[in-house]
Amino acid sequence: MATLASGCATPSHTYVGSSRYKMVFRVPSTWKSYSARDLGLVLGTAQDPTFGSTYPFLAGFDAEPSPEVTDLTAPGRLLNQPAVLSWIRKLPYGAHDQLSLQALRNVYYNVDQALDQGIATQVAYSAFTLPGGYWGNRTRFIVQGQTPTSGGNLEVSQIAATDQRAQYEYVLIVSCSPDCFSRNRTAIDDILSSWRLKA
Amino acid sequence: MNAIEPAPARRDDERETRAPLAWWDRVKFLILFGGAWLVLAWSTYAEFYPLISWGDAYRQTVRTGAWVLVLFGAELLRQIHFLISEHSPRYHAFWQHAVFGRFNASVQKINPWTRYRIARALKWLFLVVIAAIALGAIYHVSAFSALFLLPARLVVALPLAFQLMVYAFLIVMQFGLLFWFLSRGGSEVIYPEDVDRRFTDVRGQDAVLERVKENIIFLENPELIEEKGGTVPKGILLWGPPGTGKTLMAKAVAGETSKPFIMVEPGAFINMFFGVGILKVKSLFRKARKLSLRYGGVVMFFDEADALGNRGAGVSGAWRAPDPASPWATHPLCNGGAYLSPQTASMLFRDSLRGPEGDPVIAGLGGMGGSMGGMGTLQALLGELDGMEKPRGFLNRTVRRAVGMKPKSPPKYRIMVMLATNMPDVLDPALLRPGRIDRIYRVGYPSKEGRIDTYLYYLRRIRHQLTDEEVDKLATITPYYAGAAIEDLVNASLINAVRDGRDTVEWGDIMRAKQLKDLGIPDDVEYIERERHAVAVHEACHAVVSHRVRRSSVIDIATIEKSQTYLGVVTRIPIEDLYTAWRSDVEGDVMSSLASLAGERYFFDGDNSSGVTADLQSATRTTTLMEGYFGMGSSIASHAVTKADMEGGGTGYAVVDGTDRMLMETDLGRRVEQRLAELYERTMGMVESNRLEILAVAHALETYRTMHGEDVAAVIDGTAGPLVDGRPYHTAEARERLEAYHREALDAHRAHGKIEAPLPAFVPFAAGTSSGPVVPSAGNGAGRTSVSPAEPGTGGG
Repeated sequence: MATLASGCATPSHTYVGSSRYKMVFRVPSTWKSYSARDLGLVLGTAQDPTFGSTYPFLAGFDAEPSPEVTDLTAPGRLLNQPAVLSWIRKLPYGAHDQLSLQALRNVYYNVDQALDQGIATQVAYSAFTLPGGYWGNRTRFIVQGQTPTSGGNLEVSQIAATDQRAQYEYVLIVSCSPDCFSRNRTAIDDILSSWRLKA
Repeated sequence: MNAIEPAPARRDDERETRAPLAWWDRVKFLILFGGAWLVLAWSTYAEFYPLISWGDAYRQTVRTGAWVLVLFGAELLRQIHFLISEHSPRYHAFWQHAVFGRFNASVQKINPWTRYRIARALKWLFLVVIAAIALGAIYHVSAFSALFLLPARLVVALPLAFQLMVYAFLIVMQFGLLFWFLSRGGSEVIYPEDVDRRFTDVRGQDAVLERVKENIIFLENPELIEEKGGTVPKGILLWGPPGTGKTLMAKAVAGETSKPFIMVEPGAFINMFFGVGILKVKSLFRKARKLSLRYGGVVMFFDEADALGNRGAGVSGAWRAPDPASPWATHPLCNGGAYLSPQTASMLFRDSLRGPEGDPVIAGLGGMGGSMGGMGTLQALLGELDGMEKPRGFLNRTVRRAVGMKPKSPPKYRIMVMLATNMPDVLDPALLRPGRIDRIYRVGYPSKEGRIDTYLYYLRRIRHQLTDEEVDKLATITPYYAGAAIEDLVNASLINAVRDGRDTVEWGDIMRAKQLKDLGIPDDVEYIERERHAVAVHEACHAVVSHRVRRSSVIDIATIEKSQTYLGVVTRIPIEDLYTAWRSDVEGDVMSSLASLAGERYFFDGDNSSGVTADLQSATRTTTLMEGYFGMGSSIASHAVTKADMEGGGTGYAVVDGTDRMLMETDLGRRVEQRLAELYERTMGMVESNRLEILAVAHALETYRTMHGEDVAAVIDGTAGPLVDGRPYHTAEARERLEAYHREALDAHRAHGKIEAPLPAFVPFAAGTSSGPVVPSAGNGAGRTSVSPAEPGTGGG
């Protein structure tokens, strides 16, 4: 009974992933999670018959005490609590040979353009390869004064990768204000370090 | 109560508590659900390893695999409920009566049809819910939304669905066209004006013909019987030996009736593909119904109906003794079992319909197990024969019913089915029941009067010189000739006449044709002298013994001209048309067969040739029938009722698989051997006392090769025959010369040498005198006579 009762307790983390597409990570279990359907409805893509096949995996998490799905779907919105967005996208056939580290870096926010315009600061960048032929990069940048809601800065830490044949795009993005990033450093690092692509 | 007798099991409604469950039944689902949950937890741990701890994996699975826990809990509750019910009568009674009882009572109040519709609706609802959940998961929307999305998806998928339907339709059409094409043919519609055969062309079958005519009259004028409350017979079976006029009778029906005649070919139902035969039957009856409506009736004729086969597998090819109770028995019995009680008669009849399963004591050829019309064809035919009364047509059956109208009764299809076969025992009994085949007529061999009538009918078509007496004699010596055989004999005689440059048929043409038909073409070979003498003695023994012991028949011809199947033969013809055989006759048959063995041993110092093989087979077969079946032996019981079959029930000769040897080791076999020995002794005595006659006939055969029966009798009796004078053989000098020649032959036989002495010649006496030479009739073995052989042989070597 004790064992059964312990099952009623909340797990420390929400474990997210898809064994079919090999990507896993975890987020604190207290964060609000959004399914692909929730996100698709907001993005207006749920009615698209190809949505399910194009995005075999899509999930979001919001640490806001009063979470809203738009915290995730409006990239420039100022966030005082971390938000996580992750997806796996099936790349179109023609994009297989076009994919580059640059393309992966700009997968969520056009970082390079922002850097050129001087409205963004790159905090960290590293490329990596993983067992199983995966490759990609980790990018951390701060976008300055471009958030539509408050004009504040937004710090983004993202991991973008693809498989050896560049068939799928694997993305994990954590974003919030720089101050928020400092406050939630441990949790954010835990999320980013938990991200894995299984061989 | 007996101590070892088990206590009677109580019914559920007699119990106060629920019957206890077995331990395994109590826990099996709990174990299953518990195991499933553990597998899920392990799977979660494996999927997120090394991110996840065991604790988190466990807690995570509590959420993701909650449905397993729900099932586990439900099962747990169910088992607790059972446990209480097993121990608490009140609790059990509450559920049985207050809960389940009331529910059942309320359900029972609903009309069964309504219950069925509700159940159907619930099944559909369940399927819709499952589909909605699945679609929601696929489209990432709620199950409810998925239901509304579905029509839009279907519209999008319509072109593809239509394309698939076209493909499916094309495939079905291909099969449909193929089978339609294959189901064509196999029958031909003959209209009255197309056939010139009439009932007057059918000869020698007056009795059957009258019955067939009667049925056709009813078909032509159905009111004759229907106004009086009767029905027109639907089916006729004509069965009998080949060539007796069954098909001709059907053709005559086609010519006489004013209704169309559908001729179904024997091979119509032998098909490569399953189902084609069924389609053919349906197509055939569709055509028949159409013709019936248009012309007021139709006759459908299945020639060689045995091709339709039998649904059972009981038809074996093994020869079996005649079953006295069989409706297909060809040998008439006392009074057909009319003296039996109805139950016994019925049992014997049903038994016989199961297929002949007599004691396989005798080897021989049997019928084929018809299965060619299998694969549902026969069933389809049975269905069509029965199914003529049901309403037909889509409009009639479906549309009228849909608007609340009663379907129209079908019109009266007057379809008369005629079957003809020489193997009625392979027909399915269901086919022959009244309502399908109402009349069963045997078309047997014509009587002598019938044969005379048939001969006159065919002779009328040609020029001939035959007198009435000769036609009468011809009918006598051709006892088993039916219409086809008679027509062929007359035609062959005409060919003989034409070959000789004449256009008029004479008696000699008839005899030559008959010899050719019955014995075939003799081989153009010459025996060496000692073998010629041995063959002649062999045949002479048959002839003399047969002449002495058989009074119901006379010798037709005796010959030592070798053919493909014999070295020599003696044939006989019955004096009168007889339908029964007596013990004295059958014993005479056996003695005639054994005469060759006795004679060879007697005249050749105990030696005998392999030429007696067929004679011994014949003697053994006949003796076995006497002992085991005909009631002419030392026991009474008939072996025809034994059910022992040849091993495997297959076709073939018993002699091949050793069954005959097994027979000889039985009591029946020993009685057969004993009886044969007795008859052999009697035959040997007859051979000894007829030594001169046998040597005389042997000499005559060596001289003339082939002799008419009257000449054979003349030689035996010492009288003047039509061509051979037998009187010179019955003198002391003749005896001396015959014995001397036989001694020479015997010496040559012992030494495997040549007969040095020439074949003696005897001079016929002058006409009207009892002695005195006139003219030598033949040289040394070069003489020939015209011959007139007939049916079954007395013996052949």
